[in-house]
Amino acid sequence: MDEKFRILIAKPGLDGHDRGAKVVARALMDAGMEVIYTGLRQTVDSIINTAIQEDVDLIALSILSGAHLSVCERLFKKMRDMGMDVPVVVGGIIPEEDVEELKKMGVKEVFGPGTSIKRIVEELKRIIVERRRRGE
Amino acid sequence: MNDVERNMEISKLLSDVEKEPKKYHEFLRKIDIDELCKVDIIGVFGSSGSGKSSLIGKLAKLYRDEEKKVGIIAIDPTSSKSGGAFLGDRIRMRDLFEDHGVFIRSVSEKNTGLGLNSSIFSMVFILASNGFEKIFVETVGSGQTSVDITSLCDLSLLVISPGSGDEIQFMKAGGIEQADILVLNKSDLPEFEFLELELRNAMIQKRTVRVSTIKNENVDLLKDEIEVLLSKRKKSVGYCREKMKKRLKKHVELILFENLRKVLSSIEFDLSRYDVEMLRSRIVEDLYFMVKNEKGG
Repeated sequence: MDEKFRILIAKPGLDGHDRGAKVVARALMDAGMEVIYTGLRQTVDSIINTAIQEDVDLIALSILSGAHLSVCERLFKKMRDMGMDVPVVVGGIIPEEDVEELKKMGVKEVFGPGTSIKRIVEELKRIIVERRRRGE
Repeated sequence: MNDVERNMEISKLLSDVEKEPKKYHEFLRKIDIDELCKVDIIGVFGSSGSGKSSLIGKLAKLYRDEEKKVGIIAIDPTSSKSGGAFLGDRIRMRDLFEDHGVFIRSVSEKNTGLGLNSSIFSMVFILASNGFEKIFVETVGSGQTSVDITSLCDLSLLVISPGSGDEIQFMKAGGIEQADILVLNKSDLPEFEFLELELRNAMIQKRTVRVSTIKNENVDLLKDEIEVLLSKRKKSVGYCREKMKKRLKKHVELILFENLRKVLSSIEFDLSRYDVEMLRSRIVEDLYFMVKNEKGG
């Protein structure tokens, strides 16, 4: 059975910098994962739709605009309403004091500036493997 | 069941057939050939950057205006180094992201070198039997490699854009001869006239449509051409069964091919343990074996 990991990398909201998201996308491909990249300025609805159609194992949001709390709040509310249970991680410029709040909402992991690629790959693998194990 | 719930279910089915071919068996038996034939399967190939995804996005929008449901299978290359993939086709179709009547699935080619793999067939059939009326299959294919997508699809488009070579390139065997319609994209660029000139010089006698996807020019004309050709084909006697036979035949070939590759990459068949001399004699022995078999000896 093919155990390929599928990751959605999405950039919600209005910030226009996606170098970080692209670096992570390439790194995940190099780690053997299938990466679906939505590009800039995605709405919560479009991210959820993409995650459904692509049947991804994990949603990775890249947010540099400061809108992380409101984006995640809307995303998780919508996912709960739809009965969707896909792990979400966030990367970008996230103030220390918001990390706890994001995790309380359900974000599995927050990756700030300076996080090594190696750590991101390992964490994502851990999260997905754990989820698959629970599903079995 | 609402559209979202239905899409969730379809999505799981697609994953199932990609991961676990056995699950596909039951489904395959139930396919009604005449029902399947009501769905139009349109292949789109051409070199990277020619504008396939953007074009599909625009065509899909036109079909959505007629309230037809559209399925899109977008195939991108798999890394031969890591086995991973960067699937970036749907980024060109962002106008469709919030529309539940369009289902886009990105798939990696799995290094078959053919632009598709056996699970693509299953995926297309699943979309077709779940209410999608127009299905686009987009794949890599430089135009020189064999284009196996044509046996899966009712109709195939080759997308060419300026800068893709001179008349000699267009005379080579491959994509051009297999495509039903040549789509000359990026007609908004100044170099476009050279593309038309080179094609004329190569004496290509094919249905050709000039479009500018970015300016959304002539995409409606292309859609009309597609529809005319499709309805003509589907009206011809025995088309549906014959097409299905071709599809199943190609499907079987791909499965055999993939299994053979699995054998070749298994430890039992590891040729790296041989040295140069052993490999040389192996070639001669295997060639001898092949020739002997051909002679029926």
